[in-house]
Amino acid sequence: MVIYVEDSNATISEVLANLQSIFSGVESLGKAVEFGDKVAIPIYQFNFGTGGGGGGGREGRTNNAIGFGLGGTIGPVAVVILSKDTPGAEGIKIHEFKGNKLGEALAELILRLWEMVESQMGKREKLSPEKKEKLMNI
Amino acid sequence: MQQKEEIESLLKTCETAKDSVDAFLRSINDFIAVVEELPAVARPLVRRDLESNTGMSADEWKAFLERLGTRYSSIYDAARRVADALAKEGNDVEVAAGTEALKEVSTPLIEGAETAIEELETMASYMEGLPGKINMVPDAFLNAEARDELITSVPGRVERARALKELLEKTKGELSVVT
Repeated sequence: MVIYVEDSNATISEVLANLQSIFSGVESLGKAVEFGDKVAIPIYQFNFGTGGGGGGGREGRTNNAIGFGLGGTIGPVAVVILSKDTPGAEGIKIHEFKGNKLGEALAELILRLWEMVESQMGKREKLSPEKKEKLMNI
Repeated sequence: MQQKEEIESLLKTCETAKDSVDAFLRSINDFIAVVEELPAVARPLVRRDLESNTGMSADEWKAFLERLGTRYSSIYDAARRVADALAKEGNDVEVAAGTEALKEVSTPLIEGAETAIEELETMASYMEGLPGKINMVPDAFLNAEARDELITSVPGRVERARALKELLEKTKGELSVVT
């Protein structure tokens, strides 16, 4: 983006500083997904970076120009899971994703959703530690 | 004479079971290798799915099968000693000592057999339902090649799990007769 201005120096730094503070690290709620008695709400983080510069025309010419750019990433950082049947704070669970890699975050998100689907389908009971010990000592 | 036949039958079962354990162990190792090659997004999903549905991770399955293979070898060796003692007719002391050793070495298998049989059936049922689950994973997370590799390897694992389950049942029955 390039804006031609007569005297830009003061405004550029203010604009960039404001954009940085507005956009960096903003967290936003995604669209809720319902699975039986549970609702999953992903939380996304927006990381924006800005950069800019300006320059004057040659001596004797009046036109000055400035340019700045805006770039960023959006990635899921957590998922909030609400249990409809569990009232109060106990019905709210927040699962944070470790690290910032999108792949890991997606994997975690899918796993959580998969677990919710399984819980609806009647997942198998966990193998008891006693039984596992028997198998490992067979 | 009858004891001789029973021990010979046990020896045959142990041999077949050892091969069956090895075959199943190889297919678990293949499964681990296939999962390792999956995209980062699908890998933890498949690992967790196996663990939550069979009660054990792939590494735990591997450890269990290695242990079972070793147990079968020990039982085979002990049964072989009893068979040798029986061959020397009239050597009751050696037969009794051999049978006692066989009993001792078989106890963990007899105690864990029921759980192992349940687990092997659980694994077989899980593997039977796996192609359907794999086909539910969106293309974005699992490409066609990885999907085919996972699905085509399933039938062999179902058969191997059921074959080993039957051999465990047979071994348990034979051991209860000879010890």
